[in-house]
Amino acid sequence: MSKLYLIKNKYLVVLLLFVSNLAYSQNAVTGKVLSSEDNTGLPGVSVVEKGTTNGTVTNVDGDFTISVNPNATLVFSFVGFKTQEVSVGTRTSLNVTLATDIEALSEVVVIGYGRQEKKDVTGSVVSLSPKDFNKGVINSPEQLLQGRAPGVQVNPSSGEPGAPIIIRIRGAASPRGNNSPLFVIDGIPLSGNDVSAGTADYGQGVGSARNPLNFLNPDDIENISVLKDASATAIYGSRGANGVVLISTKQGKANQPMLSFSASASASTIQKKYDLVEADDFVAAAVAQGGDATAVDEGGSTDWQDEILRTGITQNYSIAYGGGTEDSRYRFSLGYMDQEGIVETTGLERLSGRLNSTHNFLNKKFQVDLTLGASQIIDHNAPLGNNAGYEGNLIGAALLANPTRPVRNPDGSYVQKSNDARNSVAMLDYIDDNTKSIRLLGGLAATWNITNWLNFKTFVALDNSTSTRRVSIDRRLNWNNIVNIGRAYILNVNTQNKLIENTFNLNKELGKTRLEAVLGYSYQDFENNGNIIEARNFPNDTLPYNYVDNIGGANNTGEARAYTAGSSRNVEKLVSFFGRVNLNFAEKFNVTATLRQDGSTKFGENNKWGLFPSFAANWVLSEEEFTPELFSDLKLRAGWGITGNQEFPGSASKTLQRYTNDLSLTVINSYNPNLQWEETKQLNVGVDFGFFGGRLFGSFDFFDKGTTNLIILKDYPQPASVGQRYENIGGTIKNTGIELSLDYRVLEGGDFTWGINYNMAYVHNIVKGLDAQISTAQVNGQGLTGAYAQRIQSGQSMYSFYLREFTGYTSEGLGTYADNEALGFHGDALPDWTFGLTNNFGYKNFDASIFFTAQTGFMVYNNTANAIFLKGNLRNGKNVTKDVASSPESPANFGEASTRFLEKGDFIRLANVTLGYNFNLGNTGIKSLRLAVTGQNLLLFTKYTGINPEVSTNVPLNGVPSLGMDYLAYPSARTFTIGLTAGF
Amino acid sequence: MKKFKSFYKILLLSSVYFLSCTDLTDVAEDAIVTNGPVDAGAGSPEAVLGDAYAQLNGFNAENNLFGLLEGSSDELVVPTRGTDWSDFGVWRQMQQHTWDPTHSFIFNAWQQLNTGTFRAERAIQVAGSNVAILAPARFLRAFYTYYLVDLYGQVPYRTDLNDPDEVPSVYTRVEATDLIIEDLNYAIENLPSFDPNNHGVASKEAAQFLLAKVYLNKPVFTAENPAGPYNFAVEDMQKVVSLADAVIASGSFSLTDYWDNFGPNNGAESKEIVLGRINNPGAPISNVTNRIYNTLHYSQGGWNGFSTLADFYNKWNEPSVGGDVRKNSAVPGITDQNGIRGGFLEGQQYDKDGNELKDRSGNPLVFTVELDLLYSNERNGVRVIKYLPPPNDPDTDFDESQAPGNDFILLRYADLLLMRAEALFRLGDESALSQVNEIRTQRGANALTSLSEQALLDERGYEMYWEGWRRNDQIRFGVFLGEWTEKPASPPTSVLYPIPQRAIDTNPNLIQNEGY
Repeated sequence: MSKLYLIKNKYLVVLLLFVSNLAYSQNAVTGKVLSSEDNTGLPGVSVVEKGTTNGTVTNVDGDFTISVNPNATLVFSFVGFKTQEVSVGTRTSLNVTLATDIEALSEVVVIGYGRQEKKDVTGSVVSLSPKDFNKGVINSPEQLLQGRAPGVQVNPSSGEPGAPIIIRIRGAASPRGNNSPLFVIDGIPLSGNDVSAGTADYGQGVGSARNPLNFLNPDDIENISVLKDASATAIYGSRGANGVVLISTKQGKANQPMLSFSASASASTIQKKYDLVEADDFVAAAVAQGGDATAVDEGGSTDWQDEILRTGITQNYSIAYGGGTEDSRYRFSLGYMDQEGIVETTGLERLSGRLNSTHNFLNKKFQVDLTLGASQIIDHNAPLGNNAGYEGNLIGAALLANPTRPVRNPDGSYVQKSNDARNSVAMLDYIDDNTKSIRLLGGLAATWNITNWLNFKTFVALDNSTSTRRVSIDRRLNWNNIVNIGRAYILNVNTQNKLIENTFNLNKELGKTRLEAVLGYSYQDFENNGNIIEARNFPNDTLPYNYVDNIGGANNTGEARAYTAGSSRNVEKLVSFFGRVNLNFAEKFNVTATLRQDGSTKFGENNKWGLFPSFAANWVLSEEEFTPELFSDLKLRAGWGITGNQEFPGSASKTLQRYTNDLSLTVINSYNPNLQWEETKQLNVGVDFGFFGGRLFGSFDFFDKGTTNLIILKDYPQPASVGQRYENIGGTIKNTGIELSLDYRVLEGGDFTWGINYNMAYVHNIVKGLDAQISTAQVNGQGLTGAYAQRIQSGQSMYSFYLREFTGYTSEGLGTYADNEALGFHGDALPDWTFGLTNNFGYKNFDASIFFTAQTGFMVYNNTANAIFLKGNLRNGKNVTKDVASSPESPANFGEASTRFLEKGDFIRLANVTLGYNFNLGNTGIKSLRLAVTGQNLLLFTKYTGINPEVSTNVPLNGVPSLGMDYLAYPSARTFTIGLTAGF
Repeated sequence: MKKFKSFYKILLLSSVYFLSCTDLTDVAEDAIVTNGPVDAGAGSPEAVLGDAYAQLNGFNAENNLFGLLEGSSDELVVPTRGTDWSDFGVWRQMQQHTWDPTHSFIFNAWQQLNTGTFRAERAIQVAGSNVAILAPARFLRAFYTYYLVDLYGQVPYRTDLNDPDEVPSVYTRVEATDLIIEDLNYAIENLPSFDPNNHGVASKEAAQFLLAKVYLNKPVFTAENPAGPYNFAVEDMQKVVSLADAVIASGSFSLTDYWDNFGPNNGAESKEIVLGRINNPGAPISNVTNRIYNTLHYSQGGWNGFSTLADFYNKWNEPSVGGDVRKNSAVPGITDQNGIRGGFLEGQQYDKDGNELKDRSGNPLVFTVELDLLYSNERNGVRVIKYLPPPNDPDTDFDESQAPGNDFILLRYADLLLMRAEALFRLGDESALSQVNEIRTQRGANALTSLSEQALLDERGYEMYWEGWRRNDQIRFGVFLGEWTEKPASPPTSVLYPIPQRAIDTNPNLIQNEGY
């Protein structure tokens, strides 16, 4: 359907006219159509003699020739530009400059299973194109969106290249599952499963898998559409509750052959280091707390942060070419990115290729669309577990380390005093950890245009990825269970997602009424399997060799048991029927109804099928006589619907038993035939508006979401085979909020242009009537075993902090706590307000873009400080910040998890600044040449004492994820990029 | 019209397409999947029984049973040491008897034991009339239930494993005690005799041992007031003696050189292990490494936590202690390899070459008897080594010190002898003294000339310290609620732990124990 619309809207009419343009030619007119944007020829523009079917299109250079009646008027139209009428008079040649169309409501936006003109959209949809995207070093599509769309909160979990990104649309509604939206790339809904392997904990904590969307080259993305409300997402049924992000990749354009090339280089450095006690002052500071100078002075001077940090250089190249005719279009691209992290040895390399093509056959009776992307990613990982113990992961070990300790002994070996005094440089040297992931995402659609108002489309797609992580840990690393043992891991994760989808699309005018409908069926099959081999007991050799590439060399004699292995496989199927009807009355009213029925192998046998309806309507007030002229656009929208969230493990409703390696048979999951999706009912009311001929436009939305049937691992009454089982529990999580986006073209048309884009959102989150109290957010570090920081409970927001209230120190410097050390609620980790502000400037060939983002009304738990920056550590020869060294705390005090480490996270960030210059190259054959400099993460205004208040280390408890915990995370970087883009 | 015909054809065609893929049968491949409750599934009876045994593996975890069995007694304390070992206050609460129903150890042990009874129950059902499965399964059900009775005084149970939504009913302490006795009598009848090559499985003697333990504690378990007084009935004490006599008569066990019971090769060297978990070096199933590292200082490779209390440690100053090897011994093959001695570590610590160790601040590593529950330094507290840390095996070139092969002991012969002595003492039989002295002599201590309740409890302390019995002993001897070095007197309700709040929330049939 989407293709049909596309053709109809853009070209079909033109083409029909083109065929029949010979009849009445009397007067030949030639000319050129230019774009007001860059004064270059505009190919593909429809040129029609008004009131007739006589017309043509411009050629590659924007030139056209047409024979017209005397005194004819020519109508020039092209998508994305304002239609212009020119009276020919007696002229035989004329040049026309088309202005870009800024009437927002006439944009075409991508929606679920189709496209719509923005004025017809009844739901809450944000559509972003490359001009709106964040620039610089970007390794996944969510980063393009960060701060750019109201109600869409994007937070990196850490600064590590390729780290998972937390994206929440309109708040958090699921206590256990993730709150990520469904991602749909070129019509292919992705599975929520990890496509790369995390790590086993070998002493550094459990590592996260990588962000599954890293495989997409951002340069290939043409549009990102974020579906926020139920009327927009209900067509995705049981996967729509967290919103849906539709990503469309670029297609070739007919009669516009293009070749583009871009190259950029970036330099990243740490945004902020911890201000630790320096070597010169350390001994005195430790002695002042009861340390013995002979024990704490190790004679050297090392800045351990500097030892593991570097300036990370990133190179990024992409090349794309495409073109074709009306009947056969293609685009091919290749991209390569080599991103160095700011921590030594870390980084991400991506090689990606994409081929998209479209062909029409048999007089446009049939159309075939291919999208095919392939990528290879190599992640260079550092030992950065999320829940490292008291010895610390790489970052923790560097922060803790005694600054008077040298990195190496005089003989060149690393100083590794004990398991409890880890050498982070040795870690980087002795731990070799790389992941290679290959992903193929392809879809082939065949459309049969049965009549001019009905088509049938069948779509088959495959998303296939294989990822292998190989880890070697040298036996010289002085860690418990590693030293004189060594360790190697091979972890594989393979995922496959197959889709078959059939849709009928209908688009028919019935008098003043226009009917658009989709009726579809889809079958999706998800498989993921993985395996792990762990080996230990590698022999000692003076020559270095790589354990993981020589895993058979581990000592497997006697009782040594060098190898352990495991494997898993899970298959899920999702069968769906769906439909949508959109009725347009006189271009003034639209009514939309959607319905999806999802059946999944995941659901319990008593709830195999779920039904997800939605209804919405809009009223284009600007089409009404009574609307004042002040409004160039005005549209009211309202919608309601039910959507689901089914992000829980497959087979969660079944009894699962597994043999363990002592040949006993263990129950690992318990039966629950009633298990079903979480259900979200959402009401959305919105208004889209434009003033001053479209110079100021925007949208305002109010939403009210209530999520029920919450899934958690609920305590199972004992005695039982398992401690907990998956259950839907009573209670509602409410997310209520408002969103506003504004675009104001302050200055336009002259040499100097200025545009402002502003968005803000408010979300109020509250848990009501919950049957359980769910604790999460494990606090890690020495003396903190068993501590947690968050609780989900009725009457509170999700991710509320539940802690002792720290009230200060006694005169001896010992911590005191309110209410007899009772735990209580103290704020939450969900920002109330989020803001984004972009200023775009243009002056002749220069342009500039300055983007600020801000979040307020949330708390961050500084677990790093809780674990490491305590006075008592100083006495023990461990480093702390200068602030802690001079604080009134006693070295005997213990760092109870408390509000002492809970901080306001509010911040304003100068996130993205770009300065560009577009060269005017005349007739050199180079259509465009642009040089741009981008700075990312330039300034951060916050009172948070850690490095980055946006970071969130996932430290779940009983599978319930946490938010707003900052623990020894990979630091965030400040990045400068210089880039060149050329178009031919 | 023609168009519509083709339209219907397509519709028909695609409907076939539609219907071909609407099957939602389950396809999980990495487990045995059943669309029903647990015991409808597959599995050989041996594998199901193995699962019931595997639940014994958690008994040595400090945040689980070990914490509850020892952490509230006068024998083990985990003081907070500056930035170390605060651990959300769990250890301080244990020591001071200020735990509440949300305490994590109390929840963990509840889950551990109830999962144990469930698995045993399932094995019983799978066994049918197969005595080779049924007898050990009933032994294990009794074993797990014994601990539920001891710690919580209530035992939830299911009547129908096929009903996932059944709300379990609850046995009282008395009812459950009777059921344990029933199970163990069946087990004694039907279990094979002890196999000296495999102390990892239930035997007739293990069942007799456990039944003796039940009868010895029956006065506690059946007392009207859980905190006492306890009426040690003659017939119960006689049962203890006769059951102990039966185990002794089997001839399978004898007192072993004390430290051979706890070394890396104790599985082969000890003749005292009646039931244990068999650990292979490199891949132990019930790893004792935490028992070792929880107490040793960082400079000894440990985590510097667990200590003993002054009142308990000072018992070793009695003149009768003599040359008791249990107090503190250099163990050949261990101490000369890693510097760690067995028993109670006080004063200056040394490495294997006799060099003085220092703490992290540079002070000499001198373990002191004094400690402070909230604000101890690194050196406070006498440390206790029960399981001996294995030295690196020079033959293998691979460090197995974190995955040692010491078997974890659940039931030990010397305990049985002391139970026998205690029962005889409570019966007024003077042979109790010679039973105690048999042990003392073997351990190098001076023989006692007379016995008292205190002397018996002390002897249990000397012999069984840090093996998971101290709380139970202190309650039975009526001293658990008293005051000691780091603990004020506690209320009578402390003799039972509360039912975990999370359990109460799932089962309305559970009534919270008094006092919580």
